[in-house]
Amino acid sequence: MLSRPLIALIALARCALLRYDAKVFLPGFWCGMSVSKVVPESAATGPSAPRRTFRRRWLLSISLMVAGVLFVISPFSAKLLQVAHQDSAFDFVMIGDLHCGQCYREAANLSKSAAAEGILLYAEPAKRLELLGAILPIDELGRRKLIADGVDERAIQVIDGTAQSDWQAGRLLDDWLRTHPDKRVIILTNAFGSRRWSIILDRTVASSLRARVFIEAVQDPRYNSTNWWSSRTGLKTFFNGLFRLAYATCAGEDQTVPIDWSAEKYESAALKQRS
Amino acid sequence: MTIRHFRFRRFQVTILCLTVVVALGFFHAPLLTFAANWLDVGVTPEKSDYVMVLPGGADNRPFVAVAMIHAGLANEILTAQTETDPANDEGLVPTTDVMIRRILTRRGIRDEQIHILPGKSSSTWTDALALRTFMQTHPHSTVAIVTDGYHTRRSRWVFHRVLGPEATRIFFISAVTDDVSPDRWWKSEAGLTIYLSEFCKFAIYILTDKMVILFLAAIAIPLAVCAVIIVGKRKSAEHLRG
Repeated sequence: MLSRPLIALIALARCALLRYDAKVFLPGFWCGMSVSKVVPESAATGPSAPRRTFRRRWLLSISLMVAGVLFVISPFSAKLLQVAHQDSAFDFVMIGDLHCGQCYREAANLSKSAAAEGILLYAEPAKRLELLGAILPIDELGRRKLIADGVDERAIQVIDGTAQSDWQAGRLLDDWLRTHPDKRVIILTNAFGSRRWSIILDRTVASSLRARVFIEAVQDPRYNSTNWWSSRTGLKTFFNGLFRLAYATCAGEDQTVPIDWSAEKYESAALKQRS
Repeated sequence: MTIRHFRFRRFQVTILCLTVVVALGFFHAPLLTFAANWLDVGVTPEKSDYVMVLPGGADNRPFVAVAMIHAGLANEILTAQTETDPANDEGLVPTTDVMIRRILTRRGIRDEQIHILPGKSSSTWTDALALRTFMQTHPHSTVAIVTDGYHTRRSRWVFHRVLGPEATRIFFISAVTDDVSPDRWWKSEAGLTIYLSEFCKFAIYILTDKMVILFLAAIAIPLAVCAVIIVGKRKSAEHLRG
């Protein structure tokens, strides 16, 4: 655990700068006592009270900043975003993050090893690129990818309905679980989005059904929880995951606004906006 | 400073902080809208030789380029070849440059009007490097660069750093982001993620720039020296009084 040594480091820094006696100060701090409970004698002979308080504040701010930076680059920060491995039996695998390439490979492996009897996908409403025919719907791309990875076509199911957001996908899963009693589902999602998925499922799946749903955090092949800050993509995914988790926790679900996805309307409005 | 003075100053600081917090609470909407609009430095589309679509937003950016071609404001379209991500490597979705080419051809742009700039681009910086290489072989050509509104300020900064004096030949056009509006971005998950990421990225780009670091150092070092001299003088004066 890094947090205890980190606290000790900060405490020692404070002791050194405030000329406190570390032997007196540290045990109290270690046992969870507040700083004010341990008043070293040497403090009485130090600088005047206002200056001491000013110095203490500065030190506290710097300590907090250092602790913040150390925390951000520690594996604990990544663990905030991802759920722990859930070693539970399941019947179906669901792709939670439809754009997570490695999730499909993981699902195919589980299906081929007979750990799962089927793979669940969900459809998204057609947007501009799908309407234009520039790209196939993501559920169809996913289905093709799974078949290419050796999954039996009959094992792939697309849940009825469409989901514009992960929250709506959670509700589709809730409906599916009601029509498939006794079936357990594991959701595969990008590791840094897994905690957010857990929150979404807690709020969209009925509590009686929630026990049948598990989450598997799938690691990106380019980085993991111990080295995400060393790559640009890792940094981007981490901070996006952090903002999305914060939003899901504090604000919950967004109101979905209907958008006209036709390419013609977008193009005709594109130049009018500025002219 | 006496204890009384110190307490009075502390009271003043507390009141000031509270006032700032209350003001931010009341005026958060105009402030956040102002911050979002500050990021958008897009200009009115003008005639140019080329229009470059920055990779990243295939949903909207290529359509602005198509509109410019159809309006006769440009003749040809540029985009940068992009690096693959796991979704591309797994064969799930095509790379962004392939997708952009597909969109453009479906919207009536001829194949010979589309140029993919080589270079495995992975960031705005590498997009700018790809354009610099292109502009070296096409002197005097002008380029309109299309990107999302919130991305224009950072892009402009990056392209000006990379292109240097050649940057007078480029200008930026904002593409409207479909589900995120600058006047209520903090009210949606996508908006919050996009804008906060953009502010962070812009800050990182600026703070890691060599010239900015040198500039800050040039200010900070003399200030620090002055502070040390003043503190030293005060201490010696106090010591003499004591």
